[in-house]
Amino acid sequence: MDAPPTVAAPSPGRLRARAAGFVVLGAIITLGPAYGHFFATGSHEYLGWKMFSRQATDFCAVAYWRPDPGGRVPLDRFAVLGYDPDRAPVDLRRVRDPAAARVIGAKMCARLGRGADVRVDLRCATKDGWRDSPATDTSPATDTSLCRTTR
Amino acid sequence: MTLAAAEGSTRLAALLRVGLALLVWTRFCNDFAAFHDNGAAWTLLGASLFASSTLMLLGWRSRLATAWTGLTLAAIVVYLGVVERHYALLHHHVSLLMIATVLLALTPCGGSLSLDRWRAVRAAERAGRPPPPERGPQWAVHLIALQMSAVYLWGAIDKTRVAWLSGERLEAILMYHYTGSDWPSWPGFPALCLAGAVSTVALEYALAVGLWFPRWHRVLIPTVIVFHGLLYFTLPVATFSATMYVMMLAFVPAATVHRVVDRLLGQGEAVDAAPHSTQDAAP
Repeated sequence: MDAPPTVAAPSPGRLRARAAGFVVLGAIITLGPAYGHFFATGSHEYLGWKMFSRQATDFCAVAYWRPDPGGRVPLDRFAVLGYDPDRAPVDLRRVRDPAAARVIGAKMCARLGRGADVRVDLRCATKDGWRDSPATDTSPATDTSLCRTTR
Repeated sequence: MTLAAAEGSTRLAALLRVGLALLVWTRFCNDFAAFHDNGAAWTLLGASLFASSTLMLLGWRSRLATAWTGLTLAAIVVYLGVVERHYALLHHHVSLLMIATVLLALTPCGGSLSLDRWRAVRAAERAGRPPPPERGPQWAVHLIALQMSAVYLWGAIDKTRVAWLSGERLEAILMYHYTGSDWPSWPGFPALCLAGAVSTVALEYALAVGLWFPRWHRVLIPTVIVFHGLLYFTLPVATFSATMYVMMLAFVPAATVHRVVDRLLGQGEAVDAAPHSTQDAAP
């Protein structure tokens, strides 16, 4: 065997092409996402590297309860509606929006019977964090029983 | 011009090629199998993806096959994702795989561990010459590293806002996937989310910059492995974590990768000593 073969040195033109390619592509890679992050609107709003910005923005945290002279009494929606929490339908485990929370509340009212008073604290997930829903307005002056509003 | 002239071992780009081709199979080949009968566009793009990624994996006309794979992925994202609104094809993990593949086509990814290399070695043997050195330009490998940095940087910028830094977004994400609409009974859940959110942003900023300094690799590379491993195990990130693992190779000096492969094979070829070598610069 001979000595190891040499590798032909790239021509100046090729070197310039590589340098230009690096600068142009590097600028696109580095600065391109600025459009999606700072300037885009509408359907372009999610361009860029916004991992987790859209995830988990279509559901609400719920806490059902009934008023009691001693304070609030939590209501377990799964127990009231007769479901095992691990096997309940996904839209009962993960309540989609305030309207779905009210529908579930109405079903709980029906199961609990005449005179039931079911209320809900509701916070919905958005890309800007938790947003309190109007359904959380439980001041004594406001009638927010889901049972009365749905009958 | 130093960067443009920098050359090094082609084994690094070859490992990127093999890793990305397998990730393309993992992510797309079931979705694009012909039996789904999703229409002519899916079938044609699927056939193109199967053929191109197979050649890319085997390393036959490697750069051409890699470019073909990258362009097919681009067509999938633009036509099926943007035009036909299949939003699952617009996720970040798909874009990342597409961009990494396109950039890989600019590297000498067929110079090692490929049919191209096999043919070159056989041709040299027939001619009575030693095999050609496994060397090639590294500028596009640095672009892959730059892309990984940009993902960390812009990901951190996007999270630098009250909704994330307060822990609220992380609370929502964990609840969505684990407890649904019920507030977790885990003790310290808000504090855990606050700590997780702040440390994630700090880590992303640190990785965006720190991976460019080889002396920090001993700390940062294991950190990347644990960080993306946690994401892979706990959240639906598809091939994102695995793609970042593969791309992380682009931060390792090519000479180091070459030596590691040599040691694994029990050999000691000194590729660094090849004539006219400019440098095996760390990115």
